[in-house]
Amino acid sequence: MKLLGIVLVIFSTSSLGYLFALKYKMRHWILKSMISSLNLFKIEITYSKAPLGEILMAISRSSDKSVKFVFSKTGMILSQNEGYTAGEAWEIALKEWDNGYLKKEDIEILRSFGFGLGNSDVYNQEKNFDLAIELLKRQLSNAEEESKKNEKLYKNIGVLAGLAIIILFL
Amino acid sequence: MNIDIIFKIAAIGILVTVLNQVLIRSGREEQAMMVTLAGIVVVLMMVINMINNLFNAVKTIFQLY
Repeated sequence: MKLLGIVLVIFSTSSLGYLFALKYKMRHWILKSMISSLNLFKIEITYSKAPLGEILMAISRSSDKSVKFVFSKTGMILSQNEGYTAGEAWEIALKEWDNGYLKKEDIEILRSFGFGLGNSDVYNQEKNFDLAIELLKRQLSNAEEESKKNEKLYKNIGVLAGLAIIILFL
Repeated sequence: MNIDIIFKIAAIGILVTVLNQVLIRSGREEQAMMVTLAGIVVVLMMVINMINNLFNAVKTIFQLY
């Protein structure tokens, strides 16, 4: 009975620690895959002159599953022809996709990228992409630093807090 | 008089040391300090009864009433 309690306490606290660590890891991962997807998007826009809905669908098929939703949702809204502009569709998708891993600043960068999406010529679109990618890259290095600092810490603290509780109540 | 409490205090000591190292390594000196202090307080809480007993025993032996 005592052993069961020990195992449960250790398991729960260390999984809590892992959960906190996952938050930092996920932010880093999402930013990374977002940047690569946006790069792909930029290339698609500048070289193939397909409609935005189709491009977005193609991107969503080839991007990582953590960012897939935004592209597929935007593409879906655009290909249904309901009268939304690309920026509006992007914003709707972004709002539905927001899962708490990204910080407010990251979301804000993506949102302001959406305002410029699909309302100018190819040259200006490219500049809009470059700006968003540049800003996201800065956030990425920021996230990298933070995850390096906090990931290990939270994992260790989870396990050690469990041990502390056990020793105190044994 | 049970010997278990010594092991318990030793375990807390080890734990606090490791936690301290982890926190310092990730650049959180203040929290590391707080953890150390918390460890000291916890251990003190555990032994304070025994210290009280010891003092009472000393008083009784030398008849300092």
